[in-house]
This record gives sequence, structure tokens and C-alpha cells, in this order.
Amino acid sequence: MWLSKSYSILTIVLLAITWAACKRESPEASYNFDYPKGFPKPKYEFPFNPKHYELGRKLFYDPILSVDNSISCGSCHQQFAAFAQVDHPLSHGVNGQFGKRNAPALFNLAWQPTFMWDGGINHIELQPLGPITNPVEMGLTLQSLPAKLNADATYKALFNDAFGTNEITDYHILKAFAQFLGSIYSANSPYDQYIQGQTNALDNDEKQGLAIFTAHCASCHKAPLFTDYSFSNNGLDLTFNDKGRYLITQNDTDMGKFKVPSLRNINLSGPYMHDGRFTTLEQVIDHYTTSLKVTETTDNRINPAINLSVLEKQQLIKFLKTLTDEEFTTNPLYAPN
Amino acid sequence: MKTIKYFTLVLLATTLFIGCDKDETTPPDGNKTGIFKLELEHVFASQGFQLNSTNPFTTENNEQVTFTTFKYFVSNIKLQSANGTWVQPESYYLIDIANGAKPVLTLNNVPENDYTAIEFMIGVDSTRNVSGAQTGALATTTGMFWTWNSGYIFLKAEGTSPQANGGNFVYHVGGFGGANKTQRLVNISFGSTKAIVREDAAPQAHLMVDVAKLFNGAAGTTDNWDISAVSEFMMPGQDASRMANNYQTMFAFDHLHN
Repeated sequence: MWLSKSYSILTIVLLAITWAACKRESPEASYNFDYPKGFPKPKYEFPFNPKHYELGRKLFYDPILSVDNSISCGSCHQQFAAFAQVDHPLSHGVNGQFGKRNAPALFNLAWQPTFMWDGGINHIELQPLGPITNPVEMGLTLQSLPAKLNADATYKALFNDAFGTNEITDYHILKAFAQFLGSIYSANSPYDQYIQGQTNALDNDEKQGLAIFTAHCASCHKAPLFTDYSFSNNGLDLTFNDKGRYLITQNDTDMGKFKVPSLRNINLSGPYMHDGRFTTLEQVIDHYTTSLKVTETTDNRINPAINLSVLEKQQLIKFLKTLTDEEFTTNPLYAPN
Repeated sequence: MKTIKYFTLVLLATTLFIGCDKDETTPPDGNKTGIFKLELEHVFASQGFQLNSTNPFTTENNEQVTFTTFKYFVSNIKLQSANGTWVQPESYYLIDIANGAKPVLTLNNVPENDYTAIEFMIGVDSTRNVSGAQTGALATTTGMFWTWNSGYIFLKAEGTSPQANGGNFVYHVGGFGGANKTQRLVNISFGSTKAIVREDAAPQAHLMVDVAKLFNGAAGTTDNWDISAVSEFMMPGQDASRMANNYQTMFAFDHLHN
């Protein structure tokens, strides 16, 4: 009896060792970046390259990309906050400077046609250059970015291994970044489970909230990505300190418009709006129900304001919280490598 | 004696004539390729153009300018002939006067033909402005790329002028879409000459590029650039579009060597 028990234990231990050994030998096997069920075809598709991915991930978390080595992308984009920054209305850059806008959450970027609140960046591969070269964010120049990495023996070796190049160029850096950023998916919230047939994934209040959401919010925040990627003036101001999309197009009809953000993980990614002016979802809902400021460019999808009872507001917020995806916020593949 | 002299002359002339004629009449072989060179000699009106000139240049509007930077993209080169147009693949060049005022672009693998004209774009086509990371002349490290509003700076002219607000002029021309897009096409005929591209013959077309045209209103207008009124812009818009209209006229055919 004792013997058979110890044999069983030995077998289990041996199996575990074998499994661990296999796992170490083929790390690629642990990547699973299939596009989420029910999502449309992404705008950007890359053949998956684990070396490019790991380089992109390392760059994302490395303060070498800021002028004084103090700030990484991950400083303002924290995984537990859906890659937004908790408690910071505005992004916080090198030398104690503040940016003029709220750091957005990062996920499902492979579907996103334009980047930044004003949509000024038109391709996922070019996006990292925005914050890296902004003097009030990371403060490098387009020339110092590759120069800094070329002066680093570790990066020289890693880029050589990943791209077969002796000189690291902007092209290689941007390709590595895009591989990591384009592989960050969030699609396994209780809402997703409900849509896929687990009827008990939402309770009755949350289902009521979903109905309210579908009636009043979904034309801009369209499932499954929970945005239509349009630019919208959502009635925050009568005059515009930040002209938003107009800064890019110089088109009067774009005055005060900003990109409609995805509402996935919205309970984690506050504060809200392009300038982080609202700290709670209650304030956001109150804005749309009672505080709209109407100008020439205000979106007629939110004007006139919607009318919600106290109970409906509570149900709507309960539903919004079902868009939180803990698998995504705790996925070790998105954490520092 | 006289006859022999005369005969020798005729023979010599004939040989020379045949020699010349032979090159010009060898028919192009579509399977063979050669080289075509494009020389861009930059001038400012009647003077040679250079950066940091000892004496400033004077514009049509009678303003003084000294350049510290003059760079622009030439792209999408096409060579035209009586029997078709050749489109150069991956055709992107950054002209930077810091490297000299008479750059020569060498086009390789040009199909043999008798070319009569060249067309190119000043700037970068919209496709490459929306296609993410690029290499070569289109790398983002050349000082010709906007990160906050994705796109290439098609032409950059910077320098000093006593008439400029603050003493410096800074013109960054770009914008690849919409009403104020600034790509401009230039088509230059070689006149009565032809560029005879053969496997063993590399013709070179010589264009004059008059930088003074930056500040000259479009042909037939008196709308010259007033540096004191607009001494800088660094984003797409009407000023950039107007300057692009001006510099579209700066290229002129001078001569061609076969």
C-alpha cells in the first residue's frame, strides 16, 4: 500500500518534471493570440513572431525610452488599470511635466484605425513615436531613440537575434512595438461570457443595464469593441481649451471632437474624458443626462440629453462594470518580461 | 597628294559620322536595362544656391533670406517615351542641400528606351503616409516626419531673414490629404533631345531648380510671399498649400548628356 502510494507520487513528480521541461523548451506554445470570438477582422494583421513580441514587451516596460531614463510606457499604462493610469487626470512626463490629456487604456488596438484622443496618429506602428518624442512625456527625439538602443549591448544582441540586423533602426523598433501592442486583447468579461451563452454571467440588474446601454449608448460605443472609432463632441464645454480633432484636420466641423473610447474595462480606467475631468462613472452618466453643453459641433447622438431614473442609472453602471476583463488585467503575457 | 588628303578627310568624316550614328540608332532591347541619371542644380534666381551663404539672397518681394536648411522629397519618378512610360519601383529620394547643391539621382535597372520626358512628385504619396513604419529615405529619423499628426514633411526650408518675425523663417510643408494636400507633380520634357538609355549608355538629364520660386506667387500673379507676414508654419494648412503651389514651378529642363 505504502509502496503503491509512493509510486503514484513518484509518477506525478516525474510527469510534472517532464511537463515543465517541455514547457521551457517551447515557450511559443504558451502564446495564444487568436482573435477573439465574434470580433470583426482586425485592421492590422501581423504574422506572430515571438522574438518581436518579447522585444516589444521589453521596450514597453523599459525607461530607457525616456530622455532621463525615468519613465517607461508602462509608467502611464498600467496593466491592472487596463493599461490606463489610475488617479492621473493628465499624463505625467519627464521632469515633473504634465501632458495635456488623459493616458488612454490600451487593448484591442489591432482594430483601431487612428490613435491618440485627436486621431492624429494613423497607424499602430507609428503610435509609440507620439509619447516617446513628446517633450512633456518621454522627451526623446526621433534620432536619439535608435541611437540610445544602438548604444546598449543587450538591445543590440536582442534586435540582432529578432531581426538579423547589426543596426537597430526606427523600423525595427516600431515593428517590435506593434507586435506587442497589437497582441493585447480584452474579450473575456462577464458581458462576453453572457453573449456567448452563459445566461447567468449577468444578473437581472446588469441585464436591465445592458438594455439601457443598447438603447442610449451603443450607437457610439458599439459592441463588440464598444466604440465606433468616430470623433465626437460629447458636450463637455462651450469653448474649447483643447480643440481636439480640429488640431489635426483644421476643419471647423471637427472643433472640440475627440475619439470615442472603448468602454471595455471602463470601471478600471478612470478618470474619464480626454482631460480626465470625471473621476466616477456616476459623474459621467450625470453629464449625459443633465449637464450637456451644446455647441455647433455637438454630436446629435447625445443631444438632446437622455433621461434616466435613479434606478436606471444604477443598472447602467452595474452593466458597465460587467465589461471588466480580469483575465486580461492579470494575463502574465502582458506583464513585464 | 591632294586627292589622298581629300580622301583621308572624307574617310575620317564618314567614320566619325558612322560612329555617332551607330549609338543613336541601336534599337532599344526591352530585355536589357541601363542607368538614367538626374542632376538637380539648385540656384536662387541667377545665383548659385547654398546654405549659410555669406550674403543673403533677395526674394521677389525684396526680402533677404539666408538658408540654414533646405530639404525635400522627390518620389514616384516616371520616364516617358513614345512607346510607353516606365515607373520606377520604390522611388523615394530625400534631397538635402547640406550634402551639396547639385545632387545626382542615379536610377538603376531602367529598361532600354529613348525617353522624352520625366515626371516626379515633390513629396510622398498618401499611401506611404498611412502605411506605418518605412525604411530607406522614408525612415522617421531624417527630420522629415511629424509624429503628432502622422505624415512626412515634404519640404523643409529654414533660415534667417531680417524681415521675419523674430529673425527666423521656418517652413515645414506637408499634409497628404484633404483640401490642403501638398503633394505636387512635376513634368519636365527633354525638348528636342532624348535620353538614350542603353546597357552601355547612361544619359544624364540636368535640371535647374530655382529655390527663389518658393517665394514667387504662381505664374501670372503678383502674389509674392511676404516673409514679414508669414514667417513660419509647421503643420498642414493653406500656407503650406500655397507654398507648394509656388515650388511646383521651381524645376526647369536645362540640357541632357547622352
